[in-house]
Amino acid sequence: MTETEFIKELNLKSTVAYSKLVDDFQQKVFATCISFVPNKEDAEDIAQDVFVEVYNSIHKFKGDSKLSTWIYRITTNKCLEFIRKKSTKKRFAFLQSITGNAIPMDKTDYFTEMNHPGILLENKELNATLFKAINRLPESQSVIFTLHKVDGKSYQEVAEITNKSLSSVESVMFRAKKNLQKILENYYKNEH
Amino acid sequence: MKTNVEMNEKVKATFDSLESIGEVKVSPFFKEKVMHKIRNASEDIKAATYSWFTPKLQLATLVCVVVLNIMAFNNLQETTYDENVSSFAESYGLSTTTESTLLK
Repeated sequence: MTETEFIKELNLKSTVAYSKLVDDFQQKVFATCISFVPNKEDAEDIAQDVFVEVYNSIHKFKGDSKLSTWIYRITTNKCLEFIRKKSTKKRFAFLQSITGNAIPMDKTDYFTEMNHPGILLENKELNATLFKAINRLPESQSVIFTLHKVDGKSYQEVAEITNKSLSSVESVMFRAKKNLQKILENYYKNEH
Repeated sequence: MKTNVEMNEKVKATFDSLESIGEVKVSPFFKEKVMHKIRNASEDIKAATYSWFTPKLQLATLVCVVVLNIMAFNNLQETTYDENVSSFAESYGLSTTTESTLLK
């Protein structure tokens, strides 16, 4: 079956086609989700939402890009949506705690509880520091850094997902690395 | 100077720690959960198809249909009555219109 035929089947809401889609993409979508949100349960919830979104919006897919690129685009947007929502909740909880309506809260400013089964125990702290540092980057930089460095996508794939040129991705990546370096240096300076 | 070197090493180690992150397999029931959610979503779409046809609108439509039927029934009765009278008049030569045309 060609991709066009497969997309037609998806448009017809065929259960067989969606079953194949989940088989083909579940691991890849989940890997991208856990790269953005280092918590297994949260990442699985987002990945499930991605497939539901694909089901609901397949009629909007015009075929300008590959189906996989479109799915990764939805995945990235879903992850960013989750991070924004969680960060707002955290800020609100923090404000409540300083205004006296004490609600027990996690003192860290990270949006989720770190629970990434792929992280080695000896690197747990280093990875946690890095994920927090990535979270402090401007969104465009954190997206490109995460897709390339954490999820392991090539520059070409990142360019297609983010709708940017290859050179633009390279320059954003360079700035992201520089900024991360600064954030980490400041962090370790304050630690001493 | 020493602390600077130490700090650079720490930053480098933090960056390098990314390489050691292993692949995490999706849970075995993931597909089942997704297919269940998709089935629910398709039911929601079907339910939403007639959601605009609210009970108020249904009642209004029913009233419209009843009123239209009554009007049509009355109209039909009047027409048949007139038609019956004119056919009766024609068959017994009482129709004025036929006479006037004959005179011409």
